[in-house]
Amino acid sequence: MKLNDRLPQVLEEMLSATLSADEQVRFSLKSDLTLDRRYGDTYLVVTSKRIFVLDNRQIIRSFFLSEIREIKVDELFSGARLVVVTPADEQVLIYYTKAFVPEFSVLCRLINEILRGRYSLPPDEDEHSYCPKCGMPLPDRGDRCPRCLPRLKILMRLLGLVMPYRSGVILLMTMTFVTVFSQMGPPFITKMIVDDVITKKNQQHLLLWIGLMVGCGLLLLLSRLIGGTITVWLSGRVAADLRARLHTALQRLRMNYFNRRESGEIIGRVMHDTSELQHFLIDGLPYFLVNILSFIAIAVMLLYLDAKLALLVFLPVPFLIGGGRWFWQKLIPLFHQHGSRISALHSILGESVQGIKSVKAFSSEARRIREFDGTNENMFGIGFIVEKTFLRFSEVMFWIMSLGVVGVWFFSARRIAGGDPNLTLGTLLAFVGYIWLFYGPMQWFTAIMNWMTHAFSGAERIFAVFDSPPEVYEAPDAVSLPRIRGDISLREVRFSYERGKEIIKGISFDIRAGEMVGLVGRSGAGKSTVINLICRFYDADAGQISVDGYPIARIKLLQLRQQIGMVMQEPFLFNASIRENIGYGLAGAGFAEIVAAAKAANAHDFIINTEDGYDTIVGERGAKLSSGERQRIAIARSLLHNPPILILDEATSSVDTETEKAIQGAMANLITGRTTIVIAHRLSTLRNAKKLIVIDDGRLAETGTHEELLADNGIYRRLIDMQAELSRLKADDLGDLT
Amino acid sequence: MSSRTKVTLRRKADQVFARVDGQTEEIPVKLVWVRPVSGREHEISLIGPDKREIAMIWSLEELDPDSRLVAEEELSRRYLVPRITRVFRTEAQFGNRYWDVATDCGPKKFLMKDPHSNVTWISTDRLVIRDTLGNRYEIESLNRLDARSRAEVEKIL
Repeated sequence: MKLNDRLPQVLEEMLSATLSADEQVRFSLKSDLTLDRRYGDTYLVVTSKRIFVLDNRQIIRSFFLSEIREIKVDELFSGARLVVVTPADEQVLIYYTKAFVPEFSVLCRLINEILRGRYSLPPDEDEHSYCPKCGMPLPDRGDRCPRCLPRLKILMRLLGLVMPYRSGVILLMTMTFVTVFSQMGPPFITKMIVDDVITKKNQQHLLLWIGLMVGCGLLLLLSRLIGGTITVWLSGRVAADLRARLHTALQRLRMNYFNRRESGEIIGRVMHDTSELQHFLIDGLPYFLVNILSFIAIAVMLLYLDAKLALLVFLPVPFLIGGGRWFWQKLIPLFHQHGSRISALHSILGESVQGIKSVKAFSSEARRIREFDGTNENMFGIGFIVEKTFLRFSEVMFWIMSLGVVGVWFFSARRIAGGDPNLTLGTLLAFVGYIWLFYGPMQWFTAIMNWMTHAFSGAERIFAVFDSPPEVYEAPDAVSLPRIRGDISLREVRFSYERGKEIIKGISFDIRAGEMVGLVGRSGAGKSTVINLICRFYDADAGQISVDGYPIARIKLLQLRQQIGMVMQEPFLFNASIRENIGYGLAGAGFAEIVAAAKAANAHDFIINTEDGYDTIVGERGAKLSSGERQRIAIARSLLHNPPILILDEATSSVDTETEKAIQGAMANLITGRTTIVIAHRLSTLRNAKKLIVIDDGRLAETGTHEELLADNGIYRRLIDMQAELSRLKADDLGDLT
Repeated sequence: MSSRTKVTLRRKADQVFARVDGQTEEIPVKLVWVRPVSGREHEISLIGPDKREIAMIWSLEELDPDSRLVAEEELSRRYLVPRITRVFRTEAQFGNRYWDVATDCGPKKFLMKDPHSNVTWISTDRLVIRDTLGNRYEIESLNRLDARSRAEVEKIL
């Protein structure tokens, strides 16, 4: 992250005049709001002694670091501000919109660290909210600017995708030429028949011309068939390649790619963007190529036949192209409106169906119906306008074209009747034939250009995924640890998912091989994040995590993860059979092993009691099983996996006592002989742990055994007391019932 | 709404302190609109340092004139929602909508994703827009915008 924005010359000079001889500028950062919250540049400068705030003209606030107690980020609606806390009061330092939240949060942390005497710079990442080239806001922080797309580069990359099939491409190009050529034939042959046969009343060449005409038709048929087949194959091929490469790339991307995006967006990218591109390649590109080629060829032909008449034909061309542009500019916003109405309708419909129980329970059918009907009518209205605009456009264009034809008839008829020897009836007929071929595609040029831009931006989004950094599966100096013992140590580990929002704020602890350790803390304290870091789903920003004495960044990634088993709070099951889901733990596991694992996980009995037994399909995310059943399947999967390090995220959801006992038994089987980290919620689990690590607000708060921590009277004690209170209340409720 | 708490507010530097129901102790508070999008200028909540509500004020009119000034000033500092006064140009491109507008805080260009989830219609005339970064903008009255601005808005909404 860059924290050295340049000040304007004037301010720079003013500032250096103010600074004392031994005072250096450490950071300077520009904000987009002034102190009276208007848009404008304001600068925050941190020197070795002071903090300055400057507007466009002068220094407006300054504080000595020695008088500051701390700096706070105060989150506002639609922005934020930094507040300086002095022993006397609190004062606003600077306001900024959400565009600068990450930068100022990091700066705030840095200043506070400086106040405490020691600071560590964040990694030097350059992620903008605005395009550095055109200054427009970006769709997502760190995205590429869609307006500054390097079109030629994208085209080259797309061509790169078809390179493996270059013989197909060459054949396709040949077929395109043949198509254009055979389209051009018939009007010219018409001319020859009229001038050579009809006018001269000479049948000598008639069969030749008719034969050529049939030949042209055949050629057109063949070239279109072959060309069309190749196009369909090629574009499907390229789209399939793209999808496969995208999926592969997605599987290998770092986790933080997935954090920032919704799954719908990613799936849309794989399916929608690729099919958009495919459509363009099938329909758009060939249409574009054929028409550009025939446009040029016909223009040349017309000029060759009769230059004066040709110029007349060219006259409406600017109107056709201009009209096309105008029309598309009108139509595109309408398309967008139509699109957003469709998606609104979709979501209302989805909610009506998925939430039908709630709708009925609140007797709100009428309200839903009103809402749907309103949007539906709206969509009909816009749909009608779209179609009407379309119809008007094509009819008006047709009329302009026919004006061209009328013009040709008028002027050439006059010339022929006037005895002009250079113009024959045949030429006139050829002109009329060509004119439709010539005008027809012109109105769609703008449409095709728009289409191309769309397809290209889809392609660009796809390429952006290819270009995102994948995980480093194997560092150059990677060590191979085929069997990990299970010692884990964290040293001063720091981490944030989003720049500026530090979640882990310097944690150190050790776990010895074979130990069972409980990770305790309020929700949001950072327990799951610690686990994510140990599994290396993310790399720590600072500090070190080692397994068996090796920094995990140096252990082969697949080997590391293969030896860490996870039973998550809401285990993810694939929509497959129970057998396959358990088998997922170990590639190539035999059925006997699967059954053994299921038995050890206390899952076997419930499985055999289902109709389909081990062949029961669990449904999407395991929806057809209860949460206790899902947990046990996940435990069985981990038992089969047999990892030296095990991570257990206890489910918070309550299950009945019998299931609870079954799960506890299964867990006891699972834990034996492994380094186990439990994110614990239940007292019973905590008591068995060798050591408890209490995390609070990203820091290590307490550590010790259950008894030690109880005696300490700290956070752990409070959590336990709360839990005891809760179970007492539950017991009371039960007492009331009986 | 029956029992209303009497609250007085005082500003010290950039901090607001509240005294509730004649208690002697003054507490530093954060002032928030309870429904900042659909009902600004209505209910206010006073949040204490421990993030718990100290008091809820149903209307600014409940406050004595001095406290009311403090509240209005602080709320205008906390709610950075520029009002769009003119719309120079809008453009839909690649599923994003570009806006080039004049606001009461100065000119601004921003980008919005689909209108379905980023535009809140307070009434048929009044709307709040959220840009891709999470910043909000308000059009207080669509009908009071000039015709060109209105046409630009209608182009993409």
